[in-house]
Parts: sequence; structure tokens; C-alpha cells
Amino acid sequence: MKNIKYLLIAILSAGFLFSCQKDFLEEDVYDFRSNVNFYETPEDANSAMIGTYKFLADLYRQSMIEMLTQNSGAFVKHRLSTPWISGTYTSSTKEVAWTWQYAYQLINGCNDVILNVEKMENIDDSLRNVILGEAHFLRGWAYFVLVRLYRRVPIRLEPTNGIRNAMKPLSESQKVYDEVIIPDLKFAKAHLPLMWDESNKGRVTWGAATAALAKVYLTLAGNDEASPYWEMARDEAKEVIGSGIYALVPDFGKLWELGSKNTVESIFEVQYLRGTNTGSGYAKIFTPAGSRMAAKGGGWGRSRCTQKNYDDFFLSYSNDSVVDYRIEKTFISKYIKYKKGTAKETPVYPTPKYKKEAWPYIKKWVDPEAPDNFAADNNFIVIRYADVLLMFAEAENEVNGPTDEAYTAVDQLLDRARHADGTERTVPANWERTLTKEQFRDKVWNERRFELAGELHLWFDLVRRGWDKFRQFKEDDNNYKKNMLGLKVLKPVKHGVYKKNMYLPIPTLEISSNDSIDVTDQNPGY
Amino acid sequence: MKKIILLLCILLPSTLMFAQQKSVSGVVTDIYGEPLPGVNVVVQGTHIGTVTGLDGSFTLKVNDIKNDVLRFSFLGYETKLIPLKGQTQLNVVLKESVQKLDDVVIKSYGAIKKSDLTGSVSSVKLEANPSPNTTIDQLLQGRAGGVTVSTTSAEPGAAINVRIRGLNSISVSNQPLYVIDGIPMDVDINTPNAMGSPNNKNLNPLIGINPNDIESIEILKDASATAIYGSRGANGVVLITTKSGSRKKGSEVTVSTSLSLSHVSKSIPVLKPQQFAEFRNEFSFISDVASGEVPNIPYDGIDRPMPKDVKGYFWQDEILRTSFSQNYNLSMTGSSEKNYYYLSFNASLADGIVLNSSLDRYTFNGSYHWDITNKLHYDLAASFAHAQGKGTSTSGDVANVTYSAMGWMLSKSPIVEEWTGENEYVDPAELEVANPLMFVEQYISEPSTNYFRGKIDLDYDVTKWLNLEARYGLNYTHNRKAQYWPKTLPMVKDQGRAGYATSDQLSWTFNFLGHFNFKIHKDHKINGVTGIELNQKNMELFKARGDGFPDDALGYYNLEAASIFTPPSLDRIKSSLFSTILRVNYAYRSKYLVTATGRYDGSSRFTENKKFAFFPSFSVAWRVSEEEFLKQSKTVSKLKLRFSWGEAGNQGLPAYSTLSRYVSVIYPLNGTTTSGYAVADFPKDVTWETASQVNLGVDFGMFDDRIYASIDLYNKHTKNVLILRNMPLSSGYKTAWDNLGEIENKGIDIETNFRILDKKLRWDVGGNISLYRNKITNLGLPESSYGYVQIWGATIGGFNQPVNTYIEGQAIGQFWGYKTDGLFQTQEEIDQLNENAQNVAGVNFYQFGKPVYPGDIKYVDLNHDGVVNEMDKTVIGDPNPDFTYGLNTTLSYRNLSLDLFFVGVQGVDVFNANLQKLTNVGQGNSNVLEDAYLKAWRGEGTSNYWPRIVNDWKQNLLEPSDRLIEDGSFFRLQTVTLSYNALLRKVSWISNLNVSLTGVNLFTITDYSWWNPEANAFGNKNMAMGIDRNSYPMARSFILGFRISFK
Repeated sequence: MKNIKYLLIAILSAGFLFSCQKDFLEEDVYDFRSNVNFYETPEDANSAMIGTYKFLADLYRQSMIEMLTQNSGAFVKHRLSTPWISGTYTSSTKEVAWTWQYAYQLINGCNDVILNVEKMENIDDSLRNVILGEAHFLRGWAYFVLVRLYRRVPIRLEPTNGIRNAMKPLSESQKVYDEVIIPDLKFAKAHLPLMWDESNKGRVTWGAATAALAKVYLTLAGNDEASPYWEMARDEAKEVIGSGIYALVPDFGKLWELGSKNTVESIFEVQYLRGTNTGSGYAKIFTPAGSRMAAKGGGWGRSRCTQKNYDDFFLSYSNDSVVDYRIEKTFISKYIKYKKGTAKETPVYPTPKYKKEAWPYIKKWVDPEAPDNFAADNNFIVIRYADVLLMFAEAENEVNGPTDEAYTAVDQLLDRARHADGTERTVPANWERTLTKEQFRDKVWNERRFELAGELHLWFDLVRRGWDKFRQFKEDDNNYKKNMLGLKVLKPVKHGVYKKNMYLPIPTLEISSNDSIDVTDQNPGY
Repeated sequence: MKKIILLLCILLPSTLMFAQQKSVSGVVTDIYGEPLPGVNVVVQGTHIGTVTGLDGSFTLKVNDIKNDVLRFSFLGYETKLIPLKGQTQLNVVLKESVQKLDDVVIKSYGAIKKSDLTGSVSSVKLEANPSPNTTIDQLLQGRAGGVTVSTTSAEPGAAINVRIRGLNSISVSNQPLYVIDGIPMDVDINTPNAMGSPNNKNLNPLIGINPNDIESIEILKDASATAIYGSRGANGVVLITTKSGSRKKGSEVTVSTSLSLSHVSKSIPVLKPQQFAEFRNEFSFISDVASGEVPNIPYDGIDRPMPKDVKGYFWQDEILRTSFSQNYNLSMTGSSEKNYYYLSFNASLADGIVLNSSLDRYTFNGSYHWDITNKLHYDLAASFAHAQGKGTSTSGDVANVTYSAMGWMLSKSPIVEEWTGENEYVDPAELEVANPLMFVEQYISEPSTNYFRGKIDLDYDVTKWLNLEARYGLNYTHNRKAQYWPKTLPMVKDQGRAGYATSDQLSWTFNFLGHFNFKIHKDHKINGVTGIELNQKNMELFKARGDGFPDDALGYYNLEAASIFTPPSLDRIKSSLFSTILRVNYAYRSKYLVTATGRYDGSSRFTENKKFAFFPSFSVAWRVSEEEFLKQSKTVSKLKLRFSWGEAGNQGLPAYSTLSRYVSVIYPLNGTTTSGYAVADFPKDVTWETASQVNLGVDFGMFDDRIYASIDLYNKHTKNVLILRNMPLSSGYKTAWDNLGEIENKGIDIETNFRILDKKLRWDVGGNISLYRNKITNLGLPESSYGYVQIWGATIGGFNQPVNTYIEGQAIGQFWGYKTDGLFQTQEEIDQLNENAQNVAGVNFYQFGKPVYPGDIKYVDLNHDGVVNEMDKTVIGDPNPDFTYGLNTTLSYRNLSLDLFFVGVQGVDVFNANLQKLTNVGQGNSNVLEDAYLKAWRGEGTSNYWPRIVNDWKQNLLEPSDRLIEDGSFFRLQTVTLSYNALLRKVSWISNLNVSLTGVNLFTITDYSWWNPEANAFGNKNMAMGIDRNSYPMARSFILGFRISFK
């Protein structure tokens, strides 16, 4: 009898436990948000958008810097070669994959925001449209980066939500421009605010979308004088100029000071903050070792200007007594080197005393306090007003020849450079207003190389002007024998001159894991 | 009281029957003639008896001198029955008993004798005095058929790979389920890595268990044995039973110690300083000539000394040492009428052979049994362990050698004072490099583990046939990883970095079980178990990191003084499992055995409609030797045939893998931290992996089991294989969980034992061999561009591509890469290739986009498209062994015994990733293998293997290719032990004294060029397997052991 009682209790308690199992097997979430508890409030929409910018920071943090500078033909890495200089990078070179990956993470994030914010109910339309505008801008921009680097890319306009439907084939670049980049940027231009309040500074604006459109049209115009895109590019650039929102920072040097962020000249700027996962890598990659200009006592000096590229800039404007202020603020010609408790001034170039440090470093980004290699405080300006002025001048010249308007745009830059840090200089002088269309074209192109040195524009500027330009530029640098000091040019490493380098290879990891892309889809030459 | 009753029992009858009594006396000895004191001598069927004295003698009175039988019994010896037949003087020799394999009792949801088993179970032979810091998984190597063990690293406390019956899965764990005294233990604890480097080692999760406390280890291999573990049984189950007291043993105190010396087993031949200076000279000369400069030789006897005068270091000698380790163990057992206990303490202090690496472990263990009433029994067990490591960054897949002491030790230039002349050019990469010795000495890494295990068990005999048991067990693990990189280390130059990470895991298991056991008539025995099990796991993971310290004085304890903090992170993970189980064993006359098992599992880890699954098994056995026609046989002492079929699951994917995920991130708007949520994962529809298995086994013994063998054939089929597959990067994700395809493992496990001599000289030889063939039978994917149905493994650092592939129809994890064919010797050869490529592809010949020159490595253009690119990849090796084996032999004479234990692996390929860096002569500032420099190509015909020296490290940087594949077969004398066991019967308070000397890894026969052919940089998952990179060197050790037991 007693035994049966125990047995009953046992059976009852087992039954009770069994009925609890449904709750018991519920998957409780603690440290992240999931589809069940996100995109519910306007704050959710906003924080999803801000979270998506993090992918933009990843894209610009590191992987493109060396690749785009060194492969342009205007930069070297001291005496050793790199795959970017020799043009021998492959589809498994890590930066090739990283850039692709980061751009698509940004695209996926934007797609996720667009899909979810569009169908949210608890949000007013003005906020909805602004957020959708941002997401469209960033998506369009990511595709613009991709298409220029890889030529053909898969188009994805919805967030990935399954494995089988994640495989998309490559699309021709023109299709990507027509169906994604231009519509997205136009949408963004229509919905983005002119400006953000102080605490939201750094989010994209109407100006960014308009300037981006100018850049897109300029790229599409290519090297074709008759292209209708020139006029479209000119008009967009002119709109930015005419808006009155932007201006050149009076002192060119101030643009590059630590802590200088989101100035009046900045149109599209990637935000970084000193620290792991939030900082940038420009200081580390550009500045010299032992200089205390970057993390861990100095940079790597990986992308250093060639002597020819420096000489071209110098000889365009400067003379024996006065140097273009921008040269002072762009290059490191000498620095203090700290080693084992000693500090020694180390000349680089163009001092005749240089021995082996023969290539000037870029000093636009410096952060001695950075805790780690890719953790510096420097923001990266993707598009600044000076760029827009030059884009305008270039496009206007193609449409109408060197008009007053075109000259005036360039004059603004030269004038700013002459004003230096408040002390007037005689160089760089304004251009004689007697240039032919061809001469003006060349001078604007060079001006972009000088003014925007190191800012990752050169490679794109070369490639959009076509293979002849790209080849010529690299060959000229390879063939440069005597520098402006009359010394033999020290050039242990030659730029590889290959047509295939007009595009990057499609990353191995994409080809191997995407059922819709085949090895035969690889860009030619890789 | 008890003794008085006993005494009365003996005395009473003897006084009553005094008149007819005769006295019998004699001496009891062992086979060596040593007297045995304390032997029980009883007249069979009576209470009349006595105990032998110190000299082994006895005297007692018997009633019937003709017909009485005397029974001599002594613990550890075979009981002997001697009919008196009128003798009054007896000299008796007792033989030490050999434990019958059939006597083993398997405790898996209730106890079953091995002889009654229908499934496939192996018992592991345990070492009497294990070496310092042994973990229980190490004890499995070579000890059981079907079990393959490989070390991920020879570092103290490093994790071990244990695989039972092949590789069942690709992405999720292949580790077996460890069950300690009935409570499953979780071994998948990954403490986060706060430091941001890719090196993320965890202490072996089994470090908390002291091998001295282990009574027995059984390995459940087939589905009949594992199905009752349901969703966690697919990889096999390791059952561990810890020591407990017993009423039989009485009380005993044992003290043991072992001391060991270890040193590295070999050195890797890299360039010596003088050779390195010559290499620098040649490298500079070649680069200067190539760039059209006047050749400038650094070691010219002017700025720097001539090569022959250069001084430097052989870093391996600086960093590797002879290390000393110690192990102390104290245990005691005791018993009284209603209870018994076991208590132990162990301290194990082990130093690694790499400077500054060590692991200290302290464990306390206790168990207590109490018979509350005749029917109600109570068991309590608790154990606590603390392990504290110290170390540097050694093993692991780290492409950047400055993060790995081992990689750096080999590749660091042996000349330190490089580039320091006046106004000298300083290679920035060089500045990143300080020296590896300093690295090892200054790097602070102090992982620790606190582990608690507890169990309460109440069981009640409800009726004769029914017993109810309630059991609650919990495991608590607190792991800590504390690290500090001083400002002097290259990766944090002038900054310093502190990282602190913890993981707290509490998992509990509650069982409510009913054990039944009854007979129907005489011939039908039915027993079994039914009940429920609840299991829940809660884990909290924390990490914090700071950079930029004023000084290094306080190490990581100065964390709060960092100038920059990486946002700390705190994660919580919870997962639950609910199960109902049933097992029924039926036996007919102990000849025919049938077992049926079912387990119904629900797991929180899967989506709503895929949470539940049922795992059945069915098995039969026939004990042929119990049949009349064999029972009397002298030759065949045992013959048992077994057959089983069943299913078990693997739920080893991380919790929350099926959910979409938005994680908190920071985007610093206008220079201030602003947080948002970034999409990090998408919802997926995944479910269990299920393995069904058929097993056919035979156990046979001949000549009283002097020859014994157990042979099992199995076929295991895993379906819905959980794969963390690579996603197209264009999806925005790198990997995703998916149920893809099916894997088959077929194999044979053989265990044998031969008792060749068992007289005064005893000689046993035992061995086992495991052989499996695995095959991916289905992947359910379209064909790749290579014409295979395949997926790729994890991306490997340094190569930035996967080197393993998983191909339908082939064994898992095949190495994937290029074939090579020596070197290009002449320009004509290349011109011809250019011409061919122009014809076929319209371009000049290239390899991976690079033009080639004489002296470069020649990769094979497999698809004849004129150039070498991705399309020329193919299978270049197989990381699955042909077979693995263990061989054990014990030779003993009197108190002396010699035990040799060999292990081996045959027919396995290893991807030696170390060679990528250490054969690259295109990077003038780091060291290379002697051959790579000395035998480098220096003109046509000078070498057809080692490429030319060129100032471009990328030119001949090894792609995954057959040049990196080595044969990893080996035959190793794992341990050899000489021990002396003194019985000291004359000292009443000592029961046993043992002294032993052990050599570990005295020799290994292998063609493998690095330290350890078993090294595996990627641990337990199979997405990257068989890859050796920066492995911790294998040691050779000598251990002196001493053990004494007191009564």
C-alpha cells in the first residue's frame, strides 16, 4: 500500500514535469535582439540605421588603403615589393576578399533596414523617409565602390534570409549602375536632409547624395568626350556648389589635424573613434616607423609617394624659396625617429642627404595615441568640397571647354593654398586663363592628384580615364630616371603594368561558395 | 558488537562438538613462496574458520576430517577449495586473481554486467600512477579499439581530440559525450578571447578530473549502447566511474607521488647565425642587382662583420628547456556498517618545455554512501578542482608569427643587432619584431579553471523488482583567461594591453528513474529502466580589454588604468534538454539476450517545429558458450555473438543558431560613441544530425580466456549533417548552419589480449586496432566547377583560403590545392609556356596572376588551359588514417614488472602549414629551413625543389599544394614503465609499496619533419583538419613514481 502511494507520487510528478516541458524548451534570448523583438519602435529603426554605418567604417578602415594607393603607380612600399605594386595580387589576396565582404555586409545591412523600415507601422513618414534615404545612399555607394573595383558584381536588393536564395549571379556593371546605383542615389537625394543636428553629424546628407551622383556620372563618362554624362556630372556638382552649404576650410592644414572632424568642407565622411573596432588604419599605413605618429611608436610607411609623383607636384608650383603649402601638409620630408631612447632627425626626400629613405611619407592622418594598428582617431573623408570643385571644373571643361566658371572653381583651391595658415604665399599661382581644353583637362587631372593625394581617388581617376592613361601613368613612373634634385631616382621596385589590374579579381571565397558564379566568370587575366 | 557475534558463531559450535574434532594446520603462500597473512580459512558450509598469521600459518579444528572442504579466500587472489580427504597438514598456494573482463559492470542508467551486454563497449586499462597533469581523455589513447585520440598541442592542459568510430560530422563537435558517475559533463566551454588576437586556446575542459580518482572508464560505441543518450550520443559515450569506498575494502590510506623531467624530442633545422648572414648577403646582392643598383652587401667586414664572425642565437635552444613536474596524491577510504566513503586530494604541478609555460592543478574529491534504511540508500559526491596555468602564446592558427612564440622562435632572424648602424635604413616590418625569447618571458597569460561537481542520489527499493531513483547532479565551471602584453611586445609596442575574460557555466541534470528487474519462471529475466531527464545549461561569458598603460608593473590587474577601453561584452546562453527514456533487457537462460532502447528528446536549440526527436535502438546477443555443446569445452571458454541497430543524435550546434540576430555596435557620430544594432545573422531552419548504426560483434575466449578477442564491424550513417557552410560573401555573411548531406563510416575495431605466461613469470600482450573508412555519401548540392559535388572548409590564415574540402563520394576533409612539378629551369621552358598560353588563352603564361622566371616553383596546369589558376586545384592528400593501433605488453616476475605501450597511426597525410613561412626565401628578414637556403636554385639544374632567392616574398609564397603535404604515419613508444611492487606483508600497517620509472615518448618512428604528426591547429571541429601550424613541441619525459598504501 505504502509502495503504491510512492509510485503514484512519482507518476504524478513525472506528469507535471512533462507538462512543463514546452516552457522548459523555449529559447530565451538575453544578449542580442532578434527578429522577434526588433524593428518595433522608431528608436529601433534609428539604431538599426546607425548600426549599419558600422559596416561602412569596416569598408574604409584598412583593406582599400594599400591596395588603391600602391596599385595606382604613384606609391611604393620602401624597398620591398608588394602584390599591389607588382600587380601580382590574386583572387585569394586577403584585401581583395575583405573589401568585397565589407561592401556586401554594408549592402545586406542596408537591405535589412530598407525591407523592415518600409513595412514598419509605428513610425512617422518623415523619419521613415530619412532612414530609407540613408540606407539607399549607403547601398548605392557600396555598389559604386564594388562595380568600379570588380567590374561585374551580384545584385542583391533584399536581405539574405536563407541559404539557397543567397546565391546570385554576377551582373554587368552598366546594369548595376542603371538598376541600383543611380536609382538609389536619386532616392537618397530626394529624401536626405540638408544637414543633421550636432549629435547626428556624420550621417549622410543631401549633399553627399548629390556629390556622389556627380562622381557616378563622371565615372560613366569615362574617357568619351561626347558622353552625355559629362553634363549630368557638371549639373550635380554645380548643385552642390550652389547650395551654399559647403565651403573650403580656410587653412588646408586644419583639415588634417587630429580631432578635425566633419568640417564645412566635408561632404561624405566616415566616422572613426580611437579604439578597437571603432578606429581607422590610415595613420598606421602611411606614417614612418619610429616616428611616434601612429600606434605602437610609429607607422608602417607602407604606402609612400614615388619621387616622380612628388616632383610633379613640387615642380608645378613651388620654387627654390617657396613651397606649396599643401606639400608641407601632405608629405613628410623629414621626421624625428625614436629608437632605443634616442631621437634623431631623419631626412627623407627631397633632401639631397637622403640615403635610403628616398620616398616621402603621407602625413594627412596622424594619431600617436592610437592603441592599435587599426584603432586611430582619424576620420576618412570620402568626398570633400575640393573634390566637388575639381569634378565641376573637369566636367564643365568637357562640356563647354575651359570657361570662367571652370577656372574659378580651381582658383578657389589655389587661393586657399596660397593663404596657407594665414601667411600669404606666392605659390601656387592661379593658372593662366589661356589653356586649351586638352591642357585644362590635363591640369585638372593633375590637380586632383596633388590636392587629393593619398585620399584614395587616384586609382579611380586613372581607371575611369581608361587603360592608356593607366598604362602611361605607371610607365612614366617606371621610366623616371633623374629626379628634380638631379639625382638618380632610387627605384628598386617597378610598378607592374598589366591591363588586368584595371579590375580586381572576384574573390576565391565568393566563387567557391556561390553556386551561381563559376570560375569561368573570373575577370580576365586572373 | 559484530565481532563478538562472529566470535560466538565460531566458538559455539566448536565447544559443542569438541569430542569429534581433529586439528588441521598449514601454511598459505603465494606462487613465489611468500607467506600470505590474513587469508580467511573456512570450513565450507559452516561458520568454522580462522585467519592466517603473519607467517601465513593457520590451525583449526574440523569435524569431519574425511569429507570437510576448506575454503581459502583472500582479496586479490583466487579463492581455492581444498577437500581434506584426511590430511591434517596442508600447504596451500594462492594465485593472484585475474579480473575477468566479463565481471566489469557498466553503469549507464542502471548497472549491467558486461557479460549481459548486447552492445559494443570497451574498457580502458588505467595506469596505476599517471604522470603529472594527465587528463582523462589522454588516458584513452591507444587503449581501446575504435577510439582515436590526437593531441591538439603538447602544451600542458591543452585540449585533446577524442573520436569514437570515425568522423561523423563536419562542423559540429565530434567529441564523445563524457558522463561522470551518471551526470553528463559539458566540454564545449569556450571562454572568450579578450585580447583580439586570433589565438584562442582553452584549457582542456576535463582538467578538473583527477585521473587518480578514476575507478574505470568504459567506452560505449554502438547505437545499442549510446541510443539511451539520445541527442548527445552520436559520437559515442565515455562513461567514467570514480572511486568510492566499499564495505569490502575497509579503510586504507594511499599516498603517491610522481616526479618527471621533460625535454623537447627534436629540433627544427633552421639557419644558424653565420648561415643567416650569408643568406642576407646573397639576398641583398640579388635585390640590388635586380633593381639596377650597385650591389651592397650588409655583412662585408666593414659596416658589419663577415658572415663567419657573426654572433647570434639558435632560438630553439633559448626558448625550450628541460622542465620538471611533480604530482602528489593522497586518498583514503573507510567504511562502517551503514556507510562508506572515499576522500582524495591531488596536487599536480607541471612545467612545460617552453619557457614560462606551466599548469598547476589541485583537486579535492569525496564521495559518501549511506544506507538510511535497508531499502533507502543515499549517495553524495562532490569534487572541486582548481587549475592555474601560465603561458605564452604558442599553438594555433596564427598567420602573423609575432603572435605565436613557436612560429616566431623558428622564423626570427638569429641575428638580433640587425639594421642598427648609423643612419641605417630600418625595415618597418622589422621594427615590429623584437625577439621571441623576450616575447616568451614577458608575455603574461594566466588561464585558470575552478570546477565543481556535485551529485545527490537517493534510491529506494519499492519492491523486490522495482527500485526508484532520483538523482540531481551539477557541474559548475568558472574559467578565466587573464592576459597582459607588456609595452615591450611588438604587437602592442609602447602601449601594453590587458585582457580579462571569464566564462561561468552551470549545468544541471535531474533524473527520475525506475529500475525494474524480475524473472518470469526461471528462464526469463527482464530488467530495465524508464524515467525522465531534464538538463539545463546556463552560461555567462564576459570579456574586457584595455590598451595603453602607464607602466607594466601590475600586469592585467592594472586594467582600470588603461587609456583606451574596448567596450566590454557580456553574453548569456541558455539551453535546455528534456528527455524520456526506456530500456528493456530480456534474457532467456542467460543465452539469448535482447535489448530495446528508446529515448525521446526535446531540445531548446532548434526551431519550434523541429525541437523533438525519437532515438530508438534494438540489439540481440547469443552467448554460444553457454549452450550445452560448448559449456564443457576446454578450448572455447567464451563465445558471444552480438548484433545491434539504432539511432543517436548530435545537437552540437551553438545555442541560438537558428535565430536572426542584431548585435550592439558603435558608430562614432561626430567623435562620440553612438550605439546601434547591426544585423549579424539571419534565421535558419536547422535540426538534429542523426546517426544510425549497425554493429556486428563477436567476443571469444580460448583456454580459459588466455586468448581473448573482441571484434566489431560497424556501419554508421549520419544524415542531416550539421555544416557551418561558407556563404557567398555577397550574402553579407561568411558562414551559416545548414543540414547538408550524409556521411558514412564503416569500420572494424579489434581488441585482443594474450596471456602467454601466467606462472611465476607472467607475460601479457594486448592490442587493439581501429580501422574506419568514411565517405560523404550525399551533399545535396549542384556540381562545382571542378566537376565534384563539394563544399570547402574554413579559411586558413596565411593562405586566406580553405585547404580542406568535402567531396561527395570521398572521405571528409580532403586536402585541396595544387600539384607541383619541381622548378622552372630555363627561360626557354617559360617561353614555350607563353607561346602555348597565347595559343590557348591569348595571354602570356602566369601562375595565380604572376609571371614566372627560372627558379620559380612550377605548379601543374591540370586543366590545360595554358595558365595556372584556381581551376587547377585538386585533391592533394587525405587526413584520414588507414588505421590506428595500440600495443601493450606486460612482463612481470615476482614484484617486478615491465610494461611497454606503443601507439601508432598509419597512412595519414598532414598539411604542414609551418613550411609556408619557413621555406620562403623571398623575405630576407626572417629565418628559413637550412635546405631552403643552402639548396636554393642558383641556375639551371642546381635544384629542382628549392626555389630561387628573390626580393619578393610573394613570388614563391607557397599556395596550398603537395609541397606542404607530409606523411604523418608514426609508431611511438608511448610509455615504458618498470615498476617494483613490494607487498611488505610483515609490516602490518603497510599494505602496498610501489616504485616505478616511466619513460614517455622515448622514440617515434616517423617521416614527418616537424615535432608532432598528430598536431592539429584547429582542434575538435572538422572544418579544418590535419593542419599543423605553430604547434607546441612534443616532449620526451622520464617519470619517477612512488606509491604507498597504509592499512
